[in-house]
Amino acid sequence: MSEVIFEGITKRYDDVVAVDQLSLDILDEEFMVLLGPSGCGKTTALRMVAGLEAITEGTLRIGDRVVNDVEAKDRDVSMVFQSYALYPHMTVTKNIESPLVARSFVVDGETEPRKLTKAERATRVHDAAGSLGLEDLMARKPAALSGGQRQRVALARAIVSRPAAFLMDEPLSNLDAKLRAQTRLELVDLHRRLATTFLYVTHDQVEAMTMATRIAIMSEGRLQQVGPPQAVYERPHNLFVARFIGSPPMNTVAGRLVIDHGEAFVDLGTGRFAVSASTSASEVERDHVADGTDVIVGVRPEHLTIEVGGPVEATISGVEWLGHERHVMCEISGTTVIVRQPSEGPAPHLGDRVRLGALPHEMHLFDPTTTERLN
Amino acid sequence: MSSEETPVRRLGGGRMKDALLGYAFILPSLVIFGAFFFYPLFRLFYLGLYQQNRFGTSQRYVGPSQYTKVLSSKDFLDGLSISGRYVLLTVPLGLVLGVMLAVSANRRLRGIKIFQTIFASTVATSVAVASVVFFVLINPQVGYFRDVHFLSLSDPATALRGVALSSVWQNLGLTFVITLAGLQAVPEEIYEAATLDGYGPIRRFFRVTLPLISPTMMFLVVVLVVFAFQAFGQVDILTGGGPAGSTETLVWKIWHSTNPLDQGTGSVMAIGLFAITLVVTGVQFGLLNRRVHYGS
Repeated sequence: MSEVIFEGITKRYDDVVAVDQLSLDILDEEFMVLLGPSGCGKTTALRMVAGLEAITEGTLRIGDRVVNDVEAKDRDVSMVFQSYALYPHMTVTKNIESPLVARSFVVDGETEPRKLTKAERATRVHDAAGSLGLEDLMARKPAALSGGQRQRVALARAIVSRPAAFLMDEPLSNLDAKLRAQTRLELVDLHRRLATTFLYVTHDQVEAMTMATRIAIMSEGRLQQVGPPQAVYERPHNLFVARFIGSPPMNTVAGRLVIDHGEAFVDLGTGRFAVSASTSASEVERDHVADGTDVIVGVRPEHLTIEVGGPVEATISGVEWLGHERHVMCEISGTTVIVRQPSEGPAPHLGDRVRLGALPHEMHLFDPTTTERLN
Repeated sequence: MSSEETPVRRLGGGRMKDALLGYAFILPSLVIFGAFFFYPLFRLFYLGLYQQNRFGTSQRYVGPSQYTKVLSSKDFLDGLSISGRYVLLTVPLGLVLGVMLAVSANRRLRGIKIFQTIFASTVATSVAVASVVFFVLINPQVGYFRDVHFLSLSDPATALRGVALSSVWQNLGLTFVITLAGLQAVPEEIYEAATLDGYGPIRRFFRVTLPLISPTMMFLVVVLVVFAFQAFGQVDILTGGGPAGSTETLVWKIWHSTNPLDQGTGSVMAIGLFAITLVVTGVQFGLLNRRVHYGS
């Protein structure tokens, strides 16, 4: 059992609240990604799990233990640092062996923790190195390794102690784009093989979307939403999540809710989109959204279409061609929205007046004041 | 890590121009080194071949035999032995104390800068001031600690220790500042990795900190050894070489023999000291370099 459970965890530095009342259950064998912009508290949360930061308030559990006051080395976690933090004066072998030297472990078939013998350590180092393909590099020092190799040594050092949970702090940020894409797949594979809890911190939504079992999105120290990547993408709980997840981000335009003959619309000034075909007007009203309420409507670029007879008028203000698709920038009452189109077919021209359409169930409504989702 | 760059080969005049430009850039330091290092060194070799009368008014050529005679003399060997003991008394103690201070002051605490400044302050102290301070502390007649016999300046068996202590104290600021700079260059994440690996403070110091600051340690050992071989002011002010010649270091003897008498003998001793310092430093680089880790 190696869940990691945050119960009302707060971290304060003097007057600054880095993590604010974080409650989050990371399930056994889950690949949980903490996602958010820099300064959102995700790394601080991770470091509290590692035991590198003291917890100001709340309870942190790893497995069935409360670990608030347990020393880092006794928490049965290991960490991959952003800089990898390899010991530059040690060979790859010594680096990987390092977590085994000073700590005690419960060996299979025994009950009491003890120091590992030299032979046991060698076996574990060999296994860890083997599973990351490092056998030929064992005698080298970190300075003689490439960035990708160093990263794998850091991973081997993390898995060698067979911890209850792996903590990773932006481990791919020092790799080039190609290697990053490849390492994402390797990490997913590693997670499958080890079947252990991963807690992974990143600001890169692509990493989060591609690797996570679930994503926890943070902003300004607060948890915004937790859920599987697809759920977070398809149904963001608030404007922050809506705008943070997705590339290009979700279009958000201020409008006014109109109830017309029992149907709900959002009036954007140059026309109105129907919203929530699945949600009747009465349901919208029950959610305290009345006729005439100001709202912010969100719609993903791939859900907007330029179509003859579309309900909303817009002016083309730019076109970006990306090879496999193109992004058409359109102005609606002074706000720019992006329409994602396949790159085939004639491109619209700058200044053209067009009509935009979107399916009602693809429209997301947010409260302009609380920024919470309304529909 | 130095990478060998392929020099750009140019034709005729271009290369010549590059070479001249290069020499022009090193000329200022060449002039300074020439005037204050190479010329005096050459002059020493020259003076070592001559013998002066006791007033220094005339000299005669005696040749290289003066080198063998002086360098094997009891006077020189005594001085060398005392200088050697001085190195052993000052360098290890100074290094250990300086590193201990630096490690203890290398933490994020409110007001730690005050301690860092205090520990570093002896850097700004001249030899004369340091010596006067120690004179007041351990002088056999008036010193506060005149009863601390193992430092007594009036006992030939202990006088060198007293002088050495003043050197240790004076060099402490330098050792502290340089070690602290070395410690602060170690990335925090490495210490955090060591914490997660379960390293206690002692293991962490010997397995992580010390190897990572080894280039700094290497530099300090060389500098402190050279300082110790060159120690003069402390000796002259605290003991004047006494009692019974027990603190006559090599440099003190060189000064004593050349001022005002016998520049020839003094020059040979100076050359001898130069050669010894050169060899010791060379050996240090050779031996220590193998155990020194230079960053990634």
